[in-house]
This record gives sequence, structure tokens and C-alpha cells, in this order.
Amino acid sequence: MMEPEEIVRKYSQMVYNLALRLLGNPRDAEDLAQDALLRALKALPSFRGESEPGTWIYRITVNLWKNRVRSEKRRGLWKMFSLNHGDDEMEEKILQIPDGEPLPEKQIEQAGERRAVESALAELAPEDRAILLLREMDECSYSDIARILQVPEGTVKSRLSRAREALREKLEAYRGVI
Amino acid sequence: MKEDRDHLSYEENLSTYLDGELESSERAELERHLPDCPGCREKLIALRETSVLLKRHMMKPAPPGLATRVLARGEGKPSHFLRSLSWKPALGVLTVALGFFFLYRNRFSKGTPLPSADVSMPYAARLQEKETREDDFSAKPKRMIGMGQRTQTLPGFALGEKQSLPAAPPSEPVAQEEQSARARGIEALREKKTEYKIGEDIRLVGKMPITQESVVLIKDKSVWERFWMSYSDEPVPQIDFKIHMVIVPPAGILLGNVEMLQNKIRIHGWSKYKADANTRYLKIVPASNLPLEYLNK
Repeated sequence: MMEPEEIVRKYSQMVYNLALRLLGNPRDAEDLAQDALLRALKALPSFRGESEPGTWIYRITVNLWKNRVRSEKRRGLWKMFSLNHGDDEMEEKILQIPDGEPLPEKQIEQAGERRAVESALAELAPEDRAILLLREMDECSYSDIARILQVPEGTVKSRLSRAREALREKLEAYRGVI
Repeated sequence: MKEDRDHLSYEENLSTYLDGELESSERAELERHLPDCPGCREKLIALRETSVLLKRHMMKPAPPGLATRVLARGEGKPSHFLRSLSWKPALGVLTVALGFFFLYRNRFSKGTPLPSADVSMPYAARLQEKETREDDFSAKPKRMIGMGQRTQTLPGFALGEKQSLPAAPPSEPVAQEEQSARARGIEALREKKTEYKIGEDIRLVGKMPITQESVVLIKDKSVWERFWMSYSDEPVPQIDFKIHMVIVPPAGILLGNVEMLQNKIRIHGWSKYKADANTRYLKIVPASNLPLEYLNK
């Protein structure tokens, strides 16, 4: 069995990124990631290795996110679009143009691949972003992703296909940047 | 037609094929199809390129110290990270209490004035300037204090830190002329006629498609004029950037009403908004350093 320190050091970045793609802003993502990791540590003695530790921790993260969404819906909050931000996300999404700088359009055209990818991702649903992250960054199998998100495997397959297609179309719109 | 249905299923399977998750029979069938179908081959290449871009750019570094904080809390050690959920209400109260302490302690000193308002202050606070600042600058707190989440700090003043205020000036009444001039200035600021009001839209119809894709926040008159004139030959709308700023939304987003909250500016909007490529609706919001929050409907 993995030690707590090993678990946290190995999975904290991925858990944070999963939270970020689900919530869309770094401040909330940090809170959610911390909660998820703490919960995993607390439940670690009862983890019997039925799945990979990562799959298990990601599932905890997704469940906590779902709880938060349900709570926010109950409180009448709307879905948060990814323009809701703390500092670094704000700097990516919103450009403050000091006097004397090149025209905004030229700056944006020079933004680069990363902005194009972030902009395209921002237009996807949170679950679709999570599926892309789990597949592309962690190479989770479809069955693991299904377990993490608690959806049928066929749903993972079709959502992943549609998300990639949507992303491909959006990225084509930035062809001048890429 | 059957052929169209079959081809659609080939296209739908490309993503799964890329991941190596197709059943063997479906994989074999697709691999027989690909040499004869340039469309599917191109799509597969495009999906691979998308995958490469995602792998390159999707992962962000975790916040510094996240792992350390989690381990510290997990072991029951006191954490230096004060943003833990269970501490938030207490932190919020503490922050407000400290804020009020540092603000109100001036009442008990020799009347050292706080820094006067500047245009970086929240809009609502500046509009209330006239009522709340006569000759006692410490009459009401001006700072928007986020409840445990984000603390707005004016220059020269930090909550929770020991603050050595300038020595109190020799006691003399604020000159009546200075006081009324300040009041008149504040009144003028409040009643200044601008062409646009907060929450209003400015319709920008460009002489060419507006290609700007990210959100742009404009806080400066010369930048605003250059931006406008780069797209339109219409007269530049007059914006008072002392109290307003302009948000240029990305394509496909229509901004709605604006809410001034204690620790943020919330903007409602709609995605999937279909507008022609030459038109963009820009939003007037209060000039502020508060974070912007967008809520998609």
C-alpha cells in the first residue's frame, strides 16, 4: 500500500488539474483539490486496491465536485463559466492593455497555441474537459474514466469523440495562431 | 443511405481508434476503410494533432505548497495555510474585525486622515464618498473586504499588519474651502455626464470581421480610441475611464447585466450567441481592480 506522502506527491498535480477543468477557476480548484486529497488520506486505511489509486482519488475529486454543483444549484447560483477567475486565469483570459502597447488585435493574434487551447477548452462542458484531461494527460482507460465519472463506458466513448471533434473545430478557428 | 450510415460510424470510431480502444473487429474494418478514404485519414491526422496540443498545454502546475499543506493537515499539524474550509468563517470575521480595528483606531488618535479616495477604489465606494467623507475620513470603512476569500487593500494599508500611521498633524480644522472643493469635486464626479452608463452596451460594427477571440479589458482612453478606430470609422464613443472600463467579449458571447458585489464584479451572459462576424457588443462596467466573474446562462 502506498504511503500518504507518496499518494499526495504523486497525484496532487493531476487532482488539481482535474478540479481546475471541472470548476474552471484556480481558487476553487485549489480548495477542491485540497479537500479531495485530504479525504483520500483519511480513507486510505480502508482502500483495498480494487482500482488504481489514481482512479480512486479522481473519483473522490469528481464526487466532491458533484456535491458542490448540487449545493450551488440549490443556492440558485448559475453555472460558472471559466471567465470567473483568480489572478493567473484572469491574466490569461482578460488582457489589460497599458498605454503604448501594440493594438489589442495584434497582441491577441500573437497569443499562441496555449491561449488557443485554453479558449477552446473553456467552451466545453466541465465533464468533457475532465474526460479529455483524464485520457490525454493520465491515459486512463475508457473503463477507468467510466468508473471515475460514474457513467457507462459507451458514454465515455461518445463524449470523448464529440469533445475532440468540438475542440478540433474550435482550434481550426485559431488557425492563424497555431 | 446505408453507405452514409456506415461512413458515419467510421468517423465516430476514429477517436476510439486513436485511443486503441476499438474492438478488434471494428478496428480491422476501419483499417480496411482508411486507405480508400482521404476524408477519414485527414480527420484522424487532425485528431492526433489536437491530442498533441492538449498534451502540450492542458496540464497546469499545482499551486505551490499544495502537497505540503495537505500532508500537514493530514497529520493534524497546524497549517500556515489559512484558507482551509473550516477556517473560512472565522477568518472572515477576523479579517473584518482587524479591518475595522485599523480603520476606527484613528478615531481615538488625533484625527490622522486616511488616504483620500482615488479612482482605483470601488465604484460604489466612490459614489458614496460625498456622504461618508466630510471632515472625518475614518467615518466609514471604504475598503471592500472579502469574507475570507479576497481582501482588497488600498495602498499603504495592509490588514493584519502593524501599521505605523503618519504622526497626527497639529490640530487645526480642515479649511472650509478645501472641504467644499472636495465635496464639489466628488459631486461633479458623481453627476458627470458620460455618454454611457454602467451595464450599457456599445455596439461595435467593424468595417471588417472582428477577429479578436479573447476577452479584452480596456481601462485607458488612448487604448480605447486605438482599439475602436482599428475596427470602425464611426466616432469613438466617449467613455469616462476614471469611473468606467470597457469589456470586449470574445466571439459568441453576449454580455448581460452587471452586478457590483462586495468582492467581485459579476457579469451575466450567454454563450452560443450568433452574431455576424463584424459586430460585437461591448459592455461598460465600473472601473475597478476587483476580479471579474462571468456567469454563463
